[in-house]
Amino acid sequence: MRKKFIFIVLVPLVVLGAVTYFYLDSWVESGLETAGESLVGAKVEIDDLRLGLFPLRVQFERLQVANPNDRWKNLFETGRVTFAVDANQLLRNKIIIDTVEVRNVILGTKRTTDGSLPQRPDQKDAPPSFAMQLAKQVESEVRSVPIFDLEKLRKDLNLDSLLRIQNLLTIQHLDSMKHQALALSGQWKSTLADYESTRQRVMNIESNLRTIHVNELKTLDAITAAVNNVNTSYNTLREINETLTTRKNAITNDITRLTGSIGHIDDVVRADIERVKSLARLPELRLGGVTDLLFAQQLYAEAQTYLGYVDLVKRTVRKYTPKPDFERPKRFEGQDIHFPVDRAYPRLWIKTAHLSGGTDAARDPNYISVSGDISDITNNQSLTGKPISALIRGTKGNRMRLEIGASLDRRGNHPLDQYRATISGIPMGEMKIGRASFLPSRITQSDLAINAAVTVPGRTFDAQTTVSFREVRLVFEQSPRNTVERLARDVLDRVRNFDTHLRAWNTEGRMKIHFSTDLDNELYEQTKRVLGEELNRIQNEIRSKVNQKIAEKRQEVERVFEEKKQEALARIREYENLLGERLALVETKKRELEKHIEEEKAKGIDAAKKKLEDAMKGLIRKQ
Amino acid sequence: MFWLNIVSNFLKILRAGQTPVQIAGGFALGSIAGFSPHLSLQIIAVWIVILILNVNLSAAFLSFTLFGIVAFLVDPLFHLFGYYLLVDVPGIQSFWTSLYNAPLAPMTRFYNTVVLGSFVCAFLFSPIVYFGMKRFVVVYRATLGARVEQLRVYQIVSKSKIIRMYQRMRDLGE
Repeated sequence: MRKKFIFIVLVPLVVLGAVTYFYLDSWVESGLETAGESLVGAKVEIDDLRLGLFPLRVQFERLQVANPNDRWKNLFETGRVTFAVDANQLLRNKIIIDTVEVRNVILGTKRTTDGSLPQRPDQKDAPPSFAMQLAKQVESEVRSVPIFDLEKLRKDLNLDSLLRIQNLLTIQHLDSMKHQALALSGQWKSTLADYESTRQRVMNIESNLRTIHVNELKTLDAITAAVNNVNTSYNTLREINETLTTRKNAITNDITRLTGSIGHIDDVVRADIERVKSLARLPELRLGGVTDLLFAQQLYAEAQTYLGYVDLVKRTVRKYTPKPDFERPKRFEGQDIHFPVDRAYPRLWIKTAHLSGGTDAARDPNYISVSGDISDITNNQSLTGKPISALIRGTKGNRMRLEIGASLDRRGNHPLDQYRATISGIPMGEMKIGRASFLPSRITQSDLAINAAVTVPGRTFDAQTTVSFREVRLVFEQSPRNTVERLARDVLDRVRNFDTHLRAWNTEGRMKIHFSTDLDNELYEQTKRVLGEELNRIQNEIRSKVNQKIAEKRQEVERVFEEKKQEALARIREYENLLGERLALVETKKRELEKHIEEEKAKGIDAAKKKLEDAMKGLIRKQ
Repeated sequence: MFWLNIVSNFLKILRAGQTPVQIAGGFALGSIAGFSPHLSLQIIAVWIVILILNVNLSAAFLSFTLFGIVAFLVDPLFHLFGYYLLVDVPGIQSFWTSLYNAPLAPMTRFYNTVVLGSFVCAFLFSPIVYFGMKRFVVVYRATLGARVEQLRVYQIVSKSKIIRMYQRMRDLGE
């Protein structure tokens, strides 16, 4: 044993103990602040922390947690916070707290100092948050909403430039039709040229037939030769006729096909009209378009703010993941190997945090005072077996009421966050609506009520919000500049209460948003009534100009096609007539020959009969 | 200069003064503290033992530094050894489990591979360090010290301006 033990060991130990005693509070305070900042990503400040050792309890007078999305505001601040730590579990390196008493909880208070922290490298590579996805989607949605300024539209509408040849598919279609008609006409000409060669054969047959004079045929051989001649002519003409019919059918098919294509021109013209209308950016009169212009941008911005909070909670409350079997840690860090525990406690478990909004006297009417319970705050829900749940009620100036319920479940394979919020009596100081380009105006007075339900399973989410405006007072910043502004203003002037519904969801990897209000129908009907006619007129003008531009070309194509068609059909008819006449001639000759043969037969029988009678008579006389 | 003072004191003590047992004891205990990468509960206990027992503090500090450097170099081996003890030796799993559930024991961070590996190694090596150092002091005082002091390097270093200036400043302070 060291002789100067008291000086070497005891005195330093006493000094160490004294220093620890006096500085332990600030060390614990600083440790809690650092841990909180690493969770939230913004400054966490604790004032006047006092540590009681027997029993082990912590108390501090004020807690401020800065908003990571708005460095000059707090997410919340509290009054006195008191909690007792389970000393037995603390010796096992676990922080188990039965109840935390939190007084005077106030949301969204202003800060006097900057609440931001230097950005961490992992935040730079973080996947896009729901709020960022929503902002991106809103930007594209808002850009796609057309401005209903017909006067400006008419002024900017330059139909001549829109009706350039390259914009009109009909012109190209007609050119193609003309080329087809000319090409087919060439084919028909070569086909009809073949007819010319057969015409000579037909004429030869005719002259050959005309040399047959039936009445002059006296002998059997002459008659037989004439019959053979007529039969051969008949067969040849039938063969020519069949060939003609086949070729005529081919040409008729070509004509039918081309006629069909010409009939299809109307469809192409309609498509061209639609294309020109789209290039002219004619607005569609659709339900919700006007209300999108009026309210969507502002409400999306609000929704984005609240989705930011959802993102923040999702990032902060993480699923507990055990370490892998073997790691290669940095030097001096090593790897922690965990063993089964008799009664499993997580590293941190606050069983209940009881929030009280403080007394009426202590309440600041400018901020929201909050009371309620948050249960089972932990770093490992698999061990507690319970999700973090919260039921919080808040008031602001005895007028506004809010109730927020939340469940943050990290027990399954995929995290599941669910929120529902009901807020009523929100005094809305002033809210800008419309846009600089469409009915810029302000709601100067209104009561708002919000009903929201948000579900965030894994990386997807679905948020539905109904915002009810009550006792609305509107101020329009300038006179209506166009018809739609005037109509929207007329409708809004009469409205005192209305509801808006916003749904934003991301279930298939892409953010979708839908916005509607119960003003949609009224605004739509009013707009349709007045603007429908004007829009129809512009559309008719476009239709007529497109038709006019196309008409000349169309007529030319139709004329060329008709000429070639008639020419081909006339030639075919001519040949049909020619063949028909010759076939009739053959038929006539055939009939004459048959008649002649019958006559000759009859003559032959009579002569034989007479010879026989004469012979019979001679025989009778001899007897 | 603090470490220079430690070395200077250590060399003086090697020559005469405290017993070889005191010097070797301080050196061995300092080696246990030096091997550990963190200031855990058991290392605080080791330092208290150093302060309570009448061992040489200079030897303890010097040993703490030297073995701290050695620990940095062989850290991967400590990690492997600690992992082997915690995971691959089935016979002592129940012991680790009960220790893990006991109060205070988790605060030693025994379940960390490097903490356990280094502590067990230090504990196993400490008798060797103790007896080795004790033997070294005896030999140094008998024969080695005179030879070392005659070395040219020792004379150059001990008579250097820096060392003399430091000694004067130190004496002024006293």
